[in-house]
Parts: sequence; structure tokens; C-alpha cells
Amino acid sequence: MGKESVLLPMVGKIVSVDVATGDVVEEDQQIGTFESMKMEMPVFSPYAGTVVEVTVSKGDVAEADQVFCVVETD
Amino acid sequence: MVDSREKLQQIETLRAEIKQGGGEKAIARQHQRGKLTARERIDRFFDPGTFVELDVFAKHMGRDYGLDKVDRVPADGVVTGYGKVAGRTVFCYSEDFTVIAGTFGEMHGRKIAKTVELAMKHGVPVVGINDSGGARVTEEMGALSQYGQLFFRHVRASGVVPQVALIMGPVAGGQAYSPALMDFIFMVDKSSHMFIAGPPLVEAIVHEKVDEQHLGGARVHATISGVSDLTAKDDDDVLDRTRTLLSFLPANNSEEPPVVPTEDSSDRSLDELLDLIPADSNQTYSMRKVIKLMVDDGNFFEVKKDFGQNLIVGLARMGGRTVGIVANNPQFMAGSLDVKASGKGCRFIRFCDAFNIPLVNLQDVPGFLIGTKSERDGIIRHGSKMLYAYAEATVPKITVVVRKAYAGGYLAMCSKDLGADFVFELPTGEICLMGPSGAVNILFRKDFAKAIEEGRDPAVVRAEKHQEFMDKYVNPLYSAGLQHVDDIIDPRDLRKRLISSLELCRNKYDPVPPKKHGNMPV
Repeated sequence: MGKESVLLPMVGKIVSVDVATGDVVEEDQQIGTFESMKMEMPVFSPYAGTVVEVTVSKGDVAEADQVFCVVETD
Repeated sequence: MVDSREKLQQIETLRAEIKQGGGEKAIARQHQRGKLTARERIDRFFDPGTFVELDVFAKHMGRDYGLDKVDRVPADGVVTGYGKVAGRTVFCYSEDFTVIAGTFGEMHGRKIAKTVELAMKHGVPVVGINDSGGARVTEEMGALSQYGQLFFRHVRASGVVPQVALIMGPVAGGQAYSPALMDFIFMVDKSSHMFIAGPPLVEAIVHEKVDEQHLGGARVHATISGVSDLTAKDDDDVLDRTRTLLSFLPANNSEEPPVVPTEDSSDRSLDELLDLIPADSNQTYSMRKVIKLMVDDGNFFEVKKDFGQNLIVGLARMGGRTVGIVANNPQFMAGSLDVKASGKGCRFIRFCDAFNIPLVNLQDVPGFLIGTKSERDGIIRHGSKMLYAYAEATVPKITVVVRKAYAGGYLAMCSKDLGADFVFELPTGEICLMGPSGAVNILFRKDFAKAIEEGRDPAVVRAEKHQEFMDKYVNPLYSAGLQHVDDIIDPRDLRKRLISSLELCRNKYDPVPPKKHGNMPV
């Protein structure tokens, strides 16, 4: 249908990226982890589809609203 | 002379014609778009055979630009009336897109405004099904004025009867403010959109190229703007979920919500809860799981799920009675309260208060969101809405400190000071004036400097002092000792204790000083 960006909710450090380009994800699937405010928090994909681009790496310090990955929706 | 039987026959023939809406071709196009027609929606929404239509013979007022030649616009493009939902009366209007695109003309507007007025007068909920191309331009002031009439009635009915808007097609222009003035907005994924100006106007005026879904589709309003409360997958789904929502609500503000008996015992022990909440406060867990464990039959009707996700709000029942649940979500922004979450929480709390729905508040909050962005977004102005809404609410308010309850967050999630009737703390609770690390940094800064001078490891000293501080101030025995919490409870007894307190609060009387209305920060 279209390309949708998965955004990070707040500033934080990327702890893990659990998807790669080409992976198929379901809605609300956990696709990574980031750390902020002394908490490790899951990153969920609000979209079902195929990951077409991953824009962060483990260890990156990300801004609020930074794109985590891009999902081509079904 | 036409005899009365013949006259009746003529009228019934006309009625049957009107009920065909825009005719076969237009109906087929509506179906191709994945949408039911206005009347099919009504049939599926109400209990079979209970719908009574009003103003079916309303005639359009268009006199110019060809509308004078349209011999009739069936029902003026909107079906209005009342019927039963699970045996309880509900008013409804359903715009008919098959009739000149469901456009909003003068009579169309009058019919809708009258529906809202009747709902308020008779004390029953109103559900609006929106599927309209916008204002009928040829009716000019007639349409514009009826928008105003409708908005006025929505506001007058606000807090008197529940008002629910379903967006089941386009809603464009000024009409978007009609749903906005109601209590809940449910949108259908892909087939609905809502904006004050559509893509062609946006391109012409602000030079932006965008499609309908990215401008105001269900997902945009559910995740980014926060306009929508729920995204349904299709027409049937949105109608079903509206029936479910209504099952939680009273007919009006002078009634209590209906009681729905359950087999789920009030004494049920929540064994899973004991291990669900990690003792290490840097670890997250699913607050939704906590809610589902706690409420009747695991049945939780969440709204605004994808907006301000750091706060979870929704309706459930405990011991058969409706409760509004407001809970921090440690999995998102550590559960801190930001601008979006505060607005979302405030609106939900005020809805519950208006309709006699007790509030159950689950705290795991590290505070309001700090930082440049948050301050510039106006966290002071928006965050204060949570304080205002809880202090204002006179319904029973029961708070559970699940884990963190730091700083202003503790007050903003309804501490005793904000009027909670009961506050319970789980053994994992951490009520604190500020985040413990910050407090330790200030309190023991001389000790840390001294440690460095003496060549000792400051990290070791910090860990010691942190533990000392936690033992002294940040534990349930400290807060219970000062009567800020009524009891420290075994997580397994959470359901039992909540139901017992809610029962106790049923006849709560909490008078407020006479006033027109307060001045809530918005």
C-alpha cells in the first residue's frame, strides 16, 4: 500500500535492532529496544508489512521522532 | 376527492421510494468502496426491528444551480431516528453518501441538530454516523447556519448524554467540528478520512501535495493528531464496538452505568501479578496485562490506544460495575506524562466524572516528561490538566501505586492530596518527592566529593547512599506510616480490595462550591 516510518517516541540510546531489511513484521510486533530515562523499552511496529529500510544501529543515540525503520505496508 | 386509503397508499409509495436512497447504481458504488449504506448501517447497529425513523419526508432547500431541477433528494441525505441497542434507547443519525454525496444542506443539518436535541431532552445517548462530501454549497447560509446550530447542541448536550461519532467515509470542512465536540470518535480504517480542508485546497493554498489518508486518515488521527479514539477494520466492526462502548455507559448524567453480572468472582486471586511486576524498577512489564488480570473477565475496552501511548485509558467492569481505568505504561517513554498523555488522560477522566463512572488509577510514573522539547511544548500548561481533572472529579477515585510514583507524577495520577478516596500501594511501590537518583545526588554531594578527595570509589559510596535513601524514604512502609496510602496490599488481593473499596464508595457525596464552571487550563 505505502511506505510508513516507525518513529522513536523520545530521545534515547538504541539497545537492539531486532529486524533487518526484508523482514516481514506484524502489527504491534517488537522490532527493537531502546534505553531512556533509565528504562529499557521495547519498540513496536504500528504497521504490518515488510521492512524496507532500517535507519538506526545498536548504540546510536536517537532523537525524539527519529525514524527507526521504514515498513512497506500490506 | 382522494379517499384516505388512496392518500395513505401514495404516502407509503413515496416513503418506500425515499428508502431506496440514491438508487441502485449509487448503492453499488457505495458497496464497491467497502461501505454499507446509511440504512444498512442503521439496520446492523440497532436491535432488529427497533429503529423508528423521523423526518423521512424532509425536502431539500436548494433553489439554484441545478438543484431546483432535482425533483427530490431522498430524506435530504440523512437518516435520523431512534432505536434500541441491547434493549436501551439510542438516537442516531446516519448520513447517506448515495444521495448527492451525503452533502450537508439546510434540512439535512436541521434533521441532525434535532436528533441531538431530542437525545438530550429525553436523556439517551446519540450516535452520529458521518459519511458526507461536506457542505452543500448551493445551500450557502442555510448549511453554514445549521453547522452552528449543530455545534451549539453538541455543546449543550455535552456531559448530559453520551455522544459518539462514527467516521465511516469522508468528513470534510466545518463538519469535522461536529464529531470533535462529541465524546468519542471511532474511525474505519482506509475508508474514512477527516480534515478541515481536503487535498486540492491544501495544495492550492499552502502548496502541499498530500493524499486523503495521509492528511486525515484513520491512522493519522489515531496515532498523530489524537482526534480519533479507535480504528475499526470495517463498517461492521465499528458498529459492533460502538454497541460495546454503549454497554458500559449510563443513558445520561443522572443515571448510573448499567450493572452487568459476572461469573468472575470478586475474590479471585491474581497469582500471576506477583511475578509480573519486576522488582528492578529499570525493567518494564505490560501494564495492559495488569489491567486485564484485574478486571471482570479480562474485558478491557481501551480508547486512544495508539496516541499518547505512555498512558493507558479505557473502560472495564469490576464486580459487574463500570470503571474508568487510567494507567501509566512503563513500556512507552518509561510511563512519564507528556503533553499528549496529559490531554488524553484529562479528557477521559472528565468523561468518566460527567457520567458517574468511578476511576481506578494505576501508577508507575517517573514524573512529567522533562527537557527542552517538553517545556517548549507547554508541559506546564498541558500537564496541569491531569491535576485539574482529578481534583475536579467527584466520582469515586481509587489509586494503586504499582511501582514508581515520583514527583508531580504521583500527584497527577491522583494521590490522596488530589482527592483519591483510597490509595493502595503494592510492595514494589516507590513514592518519592523526586527521582531517587536525583535526590541522592543533591543530598549527598558533599559525601561524594569527600570520597573522591580521599581516593575512594565514588560509585560505591553512591550505591551505599542510594540504598540508605531508599530504605529511609522510598518504600511502602514510609508512605503508609505517614498515611499517604491506606494500606500496603498483596498484589494477589488487588481485585478483591478494589471491588470492596468501589462498593464502599458507591454513595459517595462530595459537594463542590457553586460556580458556573471552572477555568481548566487548555
